[in-house]
Amino acid sequence: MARYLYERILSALLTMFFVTAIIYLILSLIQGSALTVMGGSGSEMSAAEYEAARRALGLDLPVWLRYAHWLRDVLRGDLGSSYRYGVPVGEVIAQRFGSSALLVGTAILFTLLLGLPVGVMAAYKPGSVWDRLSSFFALAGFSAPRFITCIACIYVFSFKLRLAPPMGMHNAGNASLLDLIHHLIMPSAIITFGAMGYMIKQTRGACLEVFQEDYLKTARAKGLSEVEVIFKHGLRTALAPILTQMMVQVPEIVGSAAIVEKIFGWPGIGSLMLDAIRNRDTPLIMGVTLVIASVVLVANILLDLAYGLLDPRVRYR
Amino acid sequence: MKLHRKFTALILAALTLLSLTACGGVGGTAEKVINMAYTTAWGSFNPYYSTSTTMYEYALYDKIFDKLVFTDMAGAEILPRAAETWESSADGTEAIFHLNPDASWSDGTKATAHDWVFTARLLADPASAFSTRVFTHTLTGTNDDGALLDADAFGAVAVDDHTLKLIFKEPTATEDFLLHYNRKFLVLPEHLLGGLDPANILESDFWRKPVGSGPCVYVSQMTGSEMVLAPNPYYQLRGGNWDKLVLRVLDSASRFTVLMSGEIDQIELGSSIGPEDKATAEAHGITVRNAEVQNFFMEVLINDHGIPDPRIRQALHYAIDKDAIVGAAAQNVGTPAYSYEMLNTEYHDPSLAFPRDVEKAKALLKEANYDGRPYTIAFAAKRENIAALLTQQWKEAGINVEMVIVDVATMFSGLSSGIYDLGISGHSASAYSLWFETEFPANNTNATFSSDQTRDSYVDRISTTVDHAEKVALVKEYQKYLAEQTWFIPLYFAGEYWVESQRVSNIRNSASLMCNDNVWEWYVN
Repeated sequence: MARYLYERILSALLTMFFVTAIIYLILSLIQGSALTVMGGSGSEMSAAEYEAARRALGLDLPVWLRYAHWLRDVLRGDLGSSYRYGVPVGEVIAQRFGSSALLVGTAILFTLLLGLPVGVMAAYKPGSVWDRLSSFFALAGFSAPRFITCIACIYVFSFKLRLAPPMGMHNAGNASLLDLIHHLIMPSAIITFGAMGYMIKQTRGACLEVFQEDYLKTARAKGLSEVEVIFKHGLRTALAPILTQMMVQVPEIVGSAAIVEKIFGWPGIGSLMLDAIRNRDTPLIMGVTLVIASVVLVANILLDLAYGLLDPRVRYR
Repeated sequence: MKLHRKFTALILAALTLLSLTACGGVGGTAEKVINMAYTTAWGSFNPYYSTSTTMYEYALYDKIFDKLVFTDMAGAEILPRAAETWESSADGTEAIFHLNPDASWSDGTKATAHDWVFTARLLADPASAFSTRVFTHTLTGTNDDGALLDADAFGAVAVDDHTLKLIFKEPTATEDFLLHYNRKFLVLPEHLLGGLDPANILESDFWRKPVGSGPCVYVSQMTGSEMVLAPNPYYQLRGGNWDKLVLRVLDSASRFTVLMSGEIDQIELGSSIGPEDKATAEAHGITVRNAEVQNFFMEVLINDHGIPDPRIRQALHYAIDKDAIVGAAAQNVGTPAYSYEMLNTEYHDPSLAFPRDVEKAKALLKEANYDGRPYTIAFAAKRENIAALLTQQWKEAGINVEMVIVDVATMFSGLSSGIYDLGISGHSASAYSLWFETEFPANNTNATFSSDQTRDSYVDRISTTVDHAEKVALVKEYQKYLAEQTWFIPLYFAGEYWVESQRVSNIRNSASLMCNDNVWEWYVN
C-alpha cells in the first residue's frame, strides 16, 4: 500500500512537471504577452519604457530559461508575483481558492446526492416513466451550453421570479451564512445540472448490469428490504465504475465552474484564470494551473485508494 | 413502488429546503451602500506600474488618488478638483495651478503642492521602478523619455504650499495638458513614500493598502472580484451621502439583467444600452438618460506594412457604407466618422467625407495593380457584426478579406508582427485635438501609423501652437493629410443611453468616459 502510494505520488509529480512545462510553452507561443496588454491602446509608453518593462518582466529571456526560473522558484515555495495585481500569486489564489472549493464542492456533493439515486432508480425500473424522465434530464444536462444556462437562469430566477441573487457571493454588508447559501444555490445548481447528466447515465449503466446478478436475488430471498438490496448490495458493487466516471468528471466540473464563476461574478480561481489568460499574466496562469492540476491529481489518488475500500478484490502492490 | 414513493418524498423535501433558503437570504443594512459593477477587473493599485492600461483601472485610481481637475463632456468641460484655478504664462511655457488648501490625505495629513512635485520627480527619476513617466518628457530638465537630466531645471515646482508650477519645454496650452494628461497624473503622498528607494518602490506595502487624497478610502478587497471603498472624510469636495461603495466584477453579458434585478446600482464606464432595451429598462424602474455627447470612436486599424499602397487603403475606405455600420453596430445612435476629431468640437471638418463609392474603390484598386490577395481582419468577438458587414462591403468592391476572431492582445500583437492586415478597435475620444495620437505607443506595438516626417511635423506644430484659431486651422489641415494617407479608417462616433438604479442620483455618467467619477457628489436616495 505504501509503495503503491509512493509510486502514485511520484507519477503525479511527473505529470505535474509535464503539464506545467506544456502550459508554459503554449503560453509563450500564443500571440501577445503581458507587455502587449501593458503597451496596448492608450498606454502612451515610450519605446524606452516598453523595453525596460520587457526586461523587468523577464520577457527578454528564452522561454526555457523563464520556465526554469519559474520551476526553481516554485520548488522554493515561491509562485512569483502577478503581473497584473502586483502581489504574490499565492496570496491571490489563497483569497479565491476557498470560494471555488465551496462552489465546486457543493456541485460535486449534489451531483453525487442527486445523480446517484436518480441513476439507480432509472436502472431499477428500466423503460419506466422515471427512466425516460431521468434520461431526458441527463441529456439536457450535458448538452445545454453552460453559458446559455447561466444567462437563462439569471433572467428567470433573478430578474423575473426574484428568487435568487444574480451575482456575487454575498450582498454588500451581509456576511451571514444564509446569505452565502442564497448566493450559492444558483451557480452550484447550474454546475450540478451539467455534471449530473453524466453521473445519471454512468450510474444507470453500471447498476443495470449489477441488478441482474444472482446474489441480489439471494439477498431478496433472505428477506432483506428493497432499499437494502439496492443500495447496500447492488450499489456498492456498481460504485467502482461510477468512481471512475467521477475521476474523469472532476476536471470537467472545474472547467465548467470557471464559466459559471465568470458570469455570476463568483470570486473563484476559475474566473481568476480566465482573466489571467486575457491579461497574459503568466505567473498567475501558472499558479492556478498548478493548483488545479494538484487538486485533480490528489482527487485521482484518493479515488484510486477508495477502490480498495469498495472492492476487496482490488489490492495495491 | 414503495421505494419510488420514498424517493419522491426525499426529492420534494430537498426542493422545499432549497426554496425556503432561497426566500430567506437577503439581509438588511442601515448603511447607504452603492453597488457598482465593473465588467473588467482592476489590477494593482499602482497607477504608474500596471500591466493593464484599461479605463477601468484608471476609473479606480481616480477614486483613491486625486487629480488636478475633473473633466466632463469628453473634455469640453474642465472643473476644479485638487486645483481650484489654473492659468498659462504669456508665452505658453508655464502652467500654474492654484491648489485647494483644504485637500488632505485620507490619514489626515495635508496634501500640498510638494506632493505633486514629489510625484512628478518620482516619475522622472531614472532609478524609479515605475513603468511609465506619463508626461515628464514635456517638462524642462528631462530627456526625450522623460528621465531627469538636470534636477535644478526640473519643470515641476512648488511655488508655495498651494501653488504648483509646471514648466514645459515647448509652449503648451494648459487645457491641452489637462485634457491629455490629467487622467494619468495622480498625486502620491510624499510623507509616506518619500523615504523609500525609488528602485524598490514597487515592493512597498503602500500599494496593497494605499493612502490617497482622492474622494474614497480603500477598505478591503478580494483581488479581482470585489472591493469596498469608504468616503474620504477629509476630501475637499465631499458632498454626497453614501457610506460604502462596493465595486463588484461581473460578466458584461449579464450586466443589464443584474442591474434590473436590483443587485447593482451603477455600471462603471459601460452602463449603456441600445434603443431596443430602453423601454424594458424604464419599465423596470431603471433611470435611462440620453448621452450628451458622442465620443465613442470606432475605427478600422490598417497594418500599413501589409498594405503599403495608400490607394488600396483608400479603396478600402471608399468601399465602406458607414450608415449601414452605424445601423448595425451602434443601433442608429451613432454618426459616421471621417476623422478622429469629435463632431462637437471646432476641429471637426464637415467637408471631409468618404461617401461610399464602389466604382471609385475599384478604379483605385486597378490603378494600384491590386493582385486580389486576400487580407485578414482580426477583431474581438463583440465586433463580429461590424466585421461581417465590412467584409461583405469590401467583397462587393473586389477585395477579399478573411475574418479572424481573437482577443484584443492577440489582435494588436498580430497586427504588429504582420500576421493580420486589418483590425477593429474602439476608443473614447476627447476634445483634446491630438487625442488619437496618444492612443498608441511610439514603439513596435504601433499597428496604425508608420513613421512619417510630415505627420510628425503636424503633430509637433499642433501641440506647440497656443493660439486657438491657428491651432484649429492646423488640425483641419492635418485631418486632410490623414485622409489622403488613410492609415486608419474612421467608422463612427456613438453616444449611449446611460442607465442606473433609481436608488442613486447625481451621477455624471458622461464624465466616467474621461476616467473620472464625481463620486463625492453621489447620493443614495
